Amino acid sequence: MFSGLSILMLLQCCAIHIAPKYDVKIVDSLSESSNNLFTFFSEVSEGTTALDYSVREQKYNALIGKLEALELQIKARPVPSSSKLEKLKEKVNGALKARNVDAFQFSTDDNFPSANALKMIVLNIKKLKDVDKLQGVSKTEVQVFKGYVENYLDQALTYEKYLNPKF
Amino acid sequence: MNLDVEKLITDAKELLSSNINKDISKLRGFSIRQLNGIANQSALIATGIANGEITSATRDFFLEQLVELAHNFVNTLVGLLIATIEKLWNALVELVWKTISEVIGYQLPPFTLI
Repeated sequence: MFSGLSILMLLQCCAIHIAPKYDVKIVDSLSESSNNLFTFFSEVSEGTTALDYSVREQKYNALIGKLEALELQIKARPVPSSSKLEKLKEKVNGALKARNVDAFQFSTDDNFPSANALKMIVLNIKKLKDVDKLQGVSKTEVQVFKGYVENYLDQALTYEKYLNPKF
Repeated sequence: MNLDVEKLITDAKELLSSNINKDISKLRGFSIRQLNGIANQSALIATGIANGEITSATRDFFLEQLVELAHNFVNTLVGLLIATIEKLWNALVELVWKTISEVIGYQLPPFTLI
């Protein structure tokens, strides 16, 4: 009969790792950033004028800094050996081709959908900051920026939480 | 001790069904939220451009972002599916190996995914 140790070793040799490892710190940081972002959006929900942009500049910088650091943290996480993943992607595209659907273009960033979502959030906050400084932002524009940030946050949080094997 | 094949098949089916149902439910919920989000953004942008609330400073950026949002939604979905395959595979292997290890006394060669 197997000892407990040999069973454990056996299971480890058969388990596959094709997705990044779950990291609770990333999920916590995402939740914290989410709170900061929505707090900020509630402060500018009626729109802004360029005249008082200076009172918001530090807040923009703090948000952007934290989000960029978090994006790096996600990308710095080890990614499993990609050979199995590449075969899987080939099979996906093979199945799509069999159904006369164009192949899906995977890029390097696609291994980190949550990091890419954060990159897009940063892009939105930087654009909001630039327009705020230039001419102020209308109420509708704030709503659209907030909508994008909300959807990208949903992508990042859903993905990172899903990596938890117990989720 | 003999391996109960019928029981293993039943256990494997139950394991996969419960995991797939749970995961598909989560993916469906995520997809619905995202599709609603993309639709709402499209409506907000169209109205904003029509009534002048969205200026030339943001218009093109917002339209490009619609494409980016949809693109990353699909990428996230692919990522979730890859994680699902990993979870299902590992759960199944764990069940099979556990069952076999209870019956035989030697180590089987490792499985490979593809």
